[in-house]
Parts: sequence; C-alpha cells; structure tokens
Amino acid sequence: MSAAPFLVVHNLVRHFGSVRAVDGVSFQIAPGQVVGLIGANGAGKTTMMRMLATLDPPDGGTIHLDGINAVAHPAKIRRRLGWMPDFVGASRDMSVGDYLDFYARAHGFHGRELIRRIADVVQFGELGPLLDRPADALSKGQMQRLSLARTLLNEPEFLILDEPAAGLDPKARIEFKNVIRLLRGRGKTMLISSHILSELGEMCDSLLFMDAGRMMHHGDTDSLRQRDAVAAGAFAINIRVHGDPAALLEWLSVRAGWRLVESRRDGARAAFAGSDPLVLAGELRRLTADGICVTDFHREERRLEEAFVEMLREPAPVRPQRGVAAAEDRS
Amino acid sequence: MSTVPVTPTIPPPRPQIDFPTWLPAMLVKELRQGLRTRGFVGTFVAFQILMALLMMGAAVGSDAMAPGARAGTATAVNGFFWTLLTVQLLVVTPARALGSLQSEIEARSLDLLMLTRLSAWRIVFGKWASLVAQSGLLLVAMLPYGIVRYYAGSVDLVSDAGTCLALLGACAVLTAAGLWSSGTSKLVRVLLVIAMVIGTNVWRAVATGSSAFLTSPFRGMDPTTLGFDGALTLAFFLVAAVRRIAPPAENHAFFARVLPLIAMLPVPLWALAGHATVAGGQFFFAGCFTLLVCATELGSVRTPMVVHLRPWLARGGLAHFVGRFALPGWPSALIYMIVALAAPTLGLMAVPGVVPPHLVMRVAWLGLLALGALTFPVAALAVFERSAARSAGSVYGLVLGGMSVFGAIAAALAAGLPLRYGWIKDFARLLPVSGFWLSLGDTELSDSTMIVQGGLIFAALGFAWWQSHAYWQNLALIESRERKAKL
Repeated sequence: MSAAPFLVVHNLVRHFGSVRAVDGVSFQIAPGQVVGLIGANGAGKTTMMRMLATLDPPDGGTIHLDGINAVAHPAKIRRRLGWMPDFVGASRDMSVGDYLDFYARAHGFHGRELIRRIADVVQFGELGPLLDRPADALSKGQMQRLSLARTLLNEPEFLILDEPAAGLDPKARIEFKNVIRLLRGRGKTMLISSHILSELGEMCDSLLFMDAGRMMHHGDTDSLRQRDAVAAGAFAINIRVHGDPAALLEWLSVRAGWRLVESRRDGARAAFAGSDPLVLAGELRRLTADGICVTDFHREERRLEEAFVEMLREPAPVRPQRGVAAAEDRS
Repeated sequence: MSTVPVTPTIPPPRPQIDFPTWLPAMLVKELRQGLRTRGFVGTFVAFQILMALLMMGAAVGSDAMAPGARAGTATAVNGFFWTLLTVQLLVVTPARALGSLQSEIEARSLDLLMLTRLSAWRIVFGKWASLVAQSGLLLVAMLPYGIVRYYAGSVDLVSDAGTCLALLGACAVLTAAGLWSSGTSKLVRVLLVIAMVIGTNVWRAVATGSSAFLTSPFRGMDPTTLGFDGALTLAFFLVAAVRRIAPPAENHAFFARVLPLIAMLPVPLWALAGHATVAGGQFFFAGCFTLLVCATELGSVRTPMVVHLRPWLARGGLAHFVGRFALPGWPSALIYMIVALAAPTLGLMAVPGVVPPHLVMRVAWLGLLALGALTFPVAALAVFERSAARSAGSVYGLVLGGMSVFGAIAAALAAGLPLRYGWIKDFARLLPVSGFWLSLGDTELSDSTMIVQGGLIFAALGFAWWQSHAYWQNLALIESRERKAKL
C-alpha cells in the first residue's frame, strides 16, 4: 500500500471462554480502500467487526484508526465510523422519519444541522416516499437502505458493513453495488463482510479470508484466484483449436515449458511454467506461427468460491506460542 | 438507490420535526412511541370516560339525594378517583417499564445506540423520564375531576396535593425499579408485578377506595428524610438499570456503592440535633439499603479491565486505594461490603443516642451476621464461577433466597409443630443466611450458637478471600502493564 494505512489491526485476540474467536489477526487498510471480509459461519468475522466498531473490547492486540487507539479512545473512534449490522434495530410505533430523526439527535445534531443531515441521507437512500411508513414493516431492500442511511448520518470516514447484501433480491443487489461505488467515490474506507464471494470480488479492492478465528489470506481477487498457481510456479491454460487437436497435443509434448494436463475433444488443458504475460503472449504467437488454428487461448482462473473452499482445506498456519503472543501484545 | 446525482432543481424531501430539536434524543423517541402505545392511549381514554360518566351521574343524582346519601356519593367518587390514579401510577406505568429495556434488547438496537453519543445513562434516563412524564400527563388530565370533587364536599385540597405528589414520587421509584428488572426473564417480571401490587398495598386502594394507605406506612417520618431516601432509592434503581445495558468497558460500581454511604450521612446529624427517633429510623433504612446494594454488587463475576482502573490510577495514591473498593466483580464488592457494614455500624454506635446502650452488642452481632449472610452465597458463586458467569446474579439470588426460605420454613415448623422439631430451627439459626433472619427475632443467643455462627461466617469469608486471589493477581498485572505503558 502506497498511502499511510488508515486502519491498522495488529495481533487481535478475542476469547469466549476457551474458544479463540479471533486469534492473532493482523492487517492494514489504506484510506479509501474497500476491503471484503470473507469466512464461513463461526469464522470470527462478526466478532472482529464488533471489535473494530468498539463494541467489544479485544483481549489482546491493538486497533488504530487514523493513528487513534480504538481500545483506549473508543468515543473518538465512534465519531468517525459507521457500523451497519445485518439488522435495522427499529422498534414498534416508529416511522422511518422518526427513526432517522432519533439517530440524528443521538449523534448530537440540533437545529438546521439535524434537518440537513436527515435530508441528505433521505435523498441518498431515496427514502422520501417511505418517511411515514413504520420502520419495522419495510421490505428487506428498504430496510437495508434505511440502515445504510442511518449509518451515514454522522458522515463517517470508515464504514463497517456486516452482510449488507444478505436477503436482497437481484435488483436490490445491483442497486447496492452501485451504492458502494458511490460511497467509494466519496472517499469512504469500507470493510464489507459477505457470503457472496463473487459480488465482493467485484466491489472490493482486496479480500480478507478468515477461518477459525485466523486470517488465511489478504490480497486482491486475482492473487486469490491464482494463489496455488503462483505457489507452484505454473498456470493452467485452456486452448481450443479448429479441427483435430492432434497437432496441438504434439506441439505441447515437444515445446519446452509446457505439460499436457488433459486432452479434450476440441483442444487441451495444459500447464505452462511461467507467470510473465509477455512470455505467454509469445507462446501464443509461436503456436499460431506453427500452423495451429487457435480459436481460444486463456489462462484458467478459479472461481472465488472454489479458491475459498480449497483454502479452507489447507493446513492452518502455525500459531505463535502463547508466551510469544503475549510478549508481542505487551510490546 | 440512485446512482445519478440529483439535480439542484429537485429539493430534497425534508423530514417533519414534531418535537424541538434541542430535546434529548431518547426522551423524544420514547415520548413519540409511548404516546402512541395502546397502554397509554387506552388508559387515557378509558379513565376520562369513566370519570366523566361518574361525575355526570353524581351531579345528576345529588340534587335528588338526602344530605347523607350525598356524602356517600362523594366518598364513592373520591374512592374511584384515587383508585384510578393509584392503578395508573403504581401499577400500569411501572409495568410498562418492565418491558422497556427488553424491547431495545429484542430490537438489538442497543449496539447501534452505543455507537452514537448516547450513553447507557442517557438511554435509561430518557426512558424513565418519558414514562414519568406520561404519568404526569395522565395526572394533569385527571386533575379537573379532582377539582370538581371539591364542589361535592369532603375534599382537603392540600392533603390531596400531597397525596398526588407522593403518588408521583412512588411512581418514579417504581418505574426505575421496573426498568432495572426489565432485562430479566418473563417469569421474574411477572413475580415482580405481583410483588409490586402486594408491596405497595394498591389492592387496599382498590378495595377501600381510600388514599390513606399511601401515607400510613410513612406517618411520623420527616418529609425531608423521606424525600432524601426516595431519591437515593431512585438513583440506585436507575444505576442498576444502566448497568444492565452498559458495555463491559463501563464501570458504574462506584456510583452504586457510594449511595449507602450517603444514606448513612444524615444519621449522626439527626442524632446530634437530638432527634434520636428520626436518626434511628434513618439508620434502619441505611442498613437495609446497604444490604440491598451489597447483595446486588456481590452477585457479579465481572473482571476489571484497564479502562476501569485508569481514572483511579491517574489520581494518585489515595484514589488508587479507594479504587479497589469500586471495581466490578464480587472480590472488590466483598472488601467494600466489609467497610460499608463495619465502619458505619461501629461509628454510629459511638454516637450517643442512635443505638440504645443495651442494644449495642446486639446491633454489632447482627451486622456480623449480615456480613456472613451476604458472603455465604459468594462462596457458592466462587465455586461455580466458570459455569455461572452469565447468570451470576441469579445464582447468588437463588442461594440467598433459598437459604432465606429455609429459615422461614424452619421458623414456621418450630412455631407450629411439637417440640421435637425444634432442632430444625436451631440448625437453621447456625447457618449464615437463615441464621441472620432468625436472629433478628431472637433477643438472646446462647454462647455456643454464637461461636458456631461466628466460625461459619469467618470460614465463608476466608473461603471467599482465598477464591478472590486470582482476581487481585489479575488486577496487579493490569496495573503493572499500565504503568509500563505510561513509562
């Protein structure tokens, strides 16, 4: 990351009895970055998000938001963050307008400022026609819009969105992605958790994978999709040809750097030793120059879901000894 | 949601603001919701209709009545008026408070509120103020009927005004108590409503149509002291409600624990001014209040965090020492209790006139028995600390309540059954909790009984002290880390 990190999480630990819900998690987020948080149920995502939102104190480790220690100064952090959980928290006998008015007052706004803030978020969330509707009788999509509007009332710099797309229909999901783009355009730094990996891949600059309280991977979507290939120093390439693939199979068997993985009716799947795109482009030129009529040549990329599932199968990273971790915390 | 920026020609929808924007958020929210609830609207309309009908009936009928019958009608109207007010203020409003915090917990909105500038204090105070304000509104709406009664005769306006204030005060305290218990299970809340109805003697108002029950228990008490004690009780219930929803990083133990000490303050002042009876009554209240606060404080297995310690460490030596008595968790509450029970008891026994000389030893011994009664459940709690972490208060209350019930059963058996069952009472008298209750009625205790009672009390205290070792070790570790971090 080129800019100074906006959020720095170091060796975060949270126990529930004998269970380590979050186990030595460290990562950084740059200003304006959108980061996806992925993990199976019970992976520790919500626990970590609650600690970042200053709702739960960590048992160990540190959280710094723009240089401010979140554990020591939670009130300062709360003024700068917005937390959107997977519920709206509306009570009975409360309209959408009352709901927003209440939270605006709760943030300490008065007079014209109060009215301006409410009007802004009502406009952003297109909640105007819903202002008199009971807040607990909205559709799931409307509730999410209301919840996001509430989150934006104090104009936070850092947004934590916990399962924001859960339960939304396809249209609402597309709308939600657009909202994330809008917020990104406003320079908001965001941490979004979701089960829908493909959507996160589209929305986020980088992804954090958690399992059993530990962080398994932090990087962009490409790095995850190609994680195994890079590790093995090889990429899988799918090649389709016009007509009989025999010439292609022979070419692969004699050409240095190539290894046939699987022959197919209209081509082959092969492994190429090397990751440089220019080298790969040269190989394609050579293939066509050798008279093979190539109709399709592309690097195979795994779907995020597959990459995630495979990652979960991997052995867990070695955990530092308790004494060492404690010493690091203290330092 | 729109992805296209809205052009400036389209004005954004403006929200309608019905309450002034300077009013506190929680009060506005609760008033908005409260004034719409069936509980408020139904009661308001029903009371108005009932009183209007009754007044019309009394006005129409009184012309044709003999003077004696007229007086009977006035009494009936009075009774009905007070019954409605009493039920509204002492039953309906506190009962509404019983579900108040629970509704926030069920809507899962507490976390959202904590991320705003609202503290747990503001949330609880807003709810309480809204409920009391709604009761005040009902009271004001009923006042015209109260004034109309004046023309029917046999009404003392000054006395009635006092009763109205007493009702509102009692409503304020009971509503705070309702908020305190609103985080508990439904069964507990139902039991509390029953206790509230019995404890406040509301049934007597309904049965007799008289407001005398309200003032009779406090007759002879100084109104200032009564208001002072009521305010302390109110503060205790409010802080107890705050602690139900406050995040773990907040510590409200100091506020709760300082209240009994404040309650004790007027005792020497009354005694030195020569009002021994008032001083004695206040000493009794402060003692009971101390026991209540200690019992609630001891039923907690929370461990201190660095944020709890910082305010005390920052203020230096004496504050650091005082801070030990004001940390969350039963070990800190234990040392607080020893000081809270021993210091005032010993101090006030030294002030002439508060405790009669022939009762000095008895009061001291009862203080020691109270110490044992409150410590014994702690010892049980310490054993099951890990498994009872979430329901420590319930475990503590269960042991304390169970032992108290055992004492009551033993006393009842001894009173109603042949002599050969007397040993049950003797046995119950030896045990810490039941022993305290039974010793309240015994003027003389044998030496052997006192030796066994004392032995068990010190055993319970010793065991609790031993069990608290890990707590104090953890505290020392946090303190040393904090000091290193400052260096």
